[in-house]
Amino acid sequence: MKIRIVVDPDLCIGAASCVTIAPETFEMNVENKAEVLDHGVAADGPRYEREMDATEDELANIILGAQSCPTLAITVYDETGKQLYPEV
Amino acid sequence: MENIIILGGGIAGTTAAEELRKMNADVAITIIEQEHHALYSRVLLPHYVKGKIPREKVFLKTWEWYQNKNIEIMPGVRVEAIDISNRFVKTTEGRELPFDALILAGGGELNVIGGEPRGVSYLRGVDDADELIGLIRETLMHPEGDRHGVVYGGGFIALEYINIFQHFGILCDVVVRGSGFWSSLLSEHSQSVLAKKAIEGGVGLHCNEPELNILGEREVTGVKLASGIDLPCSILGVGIGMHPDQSFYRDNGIEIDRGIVVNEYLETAHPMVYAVGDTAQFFDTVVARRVVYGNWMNAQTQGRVVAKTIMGERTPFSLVSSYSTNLLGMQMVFIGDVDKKTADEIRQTVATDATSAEEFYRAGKLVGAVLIGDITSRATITKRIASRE
Repeated sequence: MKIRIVVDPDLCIGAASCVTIAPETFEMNVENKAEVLDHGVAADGPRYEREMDATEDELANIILGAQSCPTLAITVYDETGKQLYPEV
Repeated sequence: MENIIILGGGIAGTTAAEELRKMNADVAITIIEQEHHALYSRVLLPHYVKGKIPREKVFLKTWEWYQNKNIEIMPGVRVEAIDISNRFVKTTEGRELPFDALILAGGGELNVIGGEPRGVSYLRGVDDADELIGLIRETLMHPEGDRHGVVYGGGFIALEYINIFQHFGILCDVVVRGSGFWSSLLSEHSQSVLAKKAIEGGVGLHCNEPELNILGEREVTGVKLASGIDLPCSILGVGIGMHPDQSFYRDNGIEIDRGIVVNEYLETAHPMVYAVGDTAQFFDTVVARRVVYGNWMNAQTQGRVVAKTIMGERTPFSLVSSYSTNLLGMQMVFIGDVDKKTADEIRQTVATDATSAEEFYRAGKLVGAVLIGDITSRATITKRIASRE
């Protein structure tokens, strides 16, 4: 399935828990903010927001990464734009 | 197993409850929590105080969530006794609740300074944050140039206060007992980089001050230092650390050192009694030493791991912990075990005017690191510590 992941750099405090759990999807930049990767790759350069394909297992782990964020800086949407995390 | 009791509804205890419920639909799960709130993120409190997020965003769970998950939460309740041999806890309301498994997730007790008129602020919980917002509003009504805050302490909470005061244009003085920020932990160079950043940012730094006396009876008007200096302020932000509630656990037969002593499975010496989060002094398999860490991911992951163990899938906890913060925008990270006393060797690997890096070695292995100003090597260092090279 296609998902969209958005990091709010203003909320991110650089705890890096998302990187520990989902290193293929998140990476810290020099400003100590998490950027989004598509399976380890930052096509078109570094970005705080990215659309990508993910298997169900991959999505489950990405959600786990988002859940680990103490400032809820990571939002995950499905292809219809429905917010998967944080639950609304 | 019929009853699982969790003392403490913070991130460690609540995650444990959530994971237990995922694995078992029937067992009764009860969280006993001293505060009157559903789970919230302490890490979000500075964002809330600065007005970056509304108050409701601080909360991670609603009361309905507990209901929907069939997790009983008892807010505003304290436990006065734990009977390990007969397996029940007694609340201050006089209720006796039996358990088959007990998870101690109560966090720590804040170190306080005592004798506290209005204006003395701590940043432990959402109530403290509410109060601090009120104090800031009042301070901002003073004429410009007469808006003063003092920060007591030189660690993580102190940095949050400095950043908050700067955000609101409140003039800031910092008072520390030691020679600078994290004086018992950091090298002289690291301390000097932080001190320089603070002073350049307009912060008054007062080091080696063994005592701080509050001026003002009902409301703080300032502080008097042992060196004779008087500092005016309407807010005194205190961040001088935490300690475990030693006597409570000891009286109840639970081994306490710098925290509740547990192994890498988060098990105490008593069967089916566990400790997780800030209150646990656990055996860290990565650095081969018993440690206490007070950070979010550590607590959350321990909650997850202990749930597995209780449900029969005995799982060791293993994680390279890190703390990340900033001083007036200058980034810094503590990775792994950065205890000076137990390190065999500390290497200052970077030392410029604006950056510092220290690596902590024990038995020839890298066990921890501090990065200040330039944190680009964070991922590499974390991997090196994890690989136990």
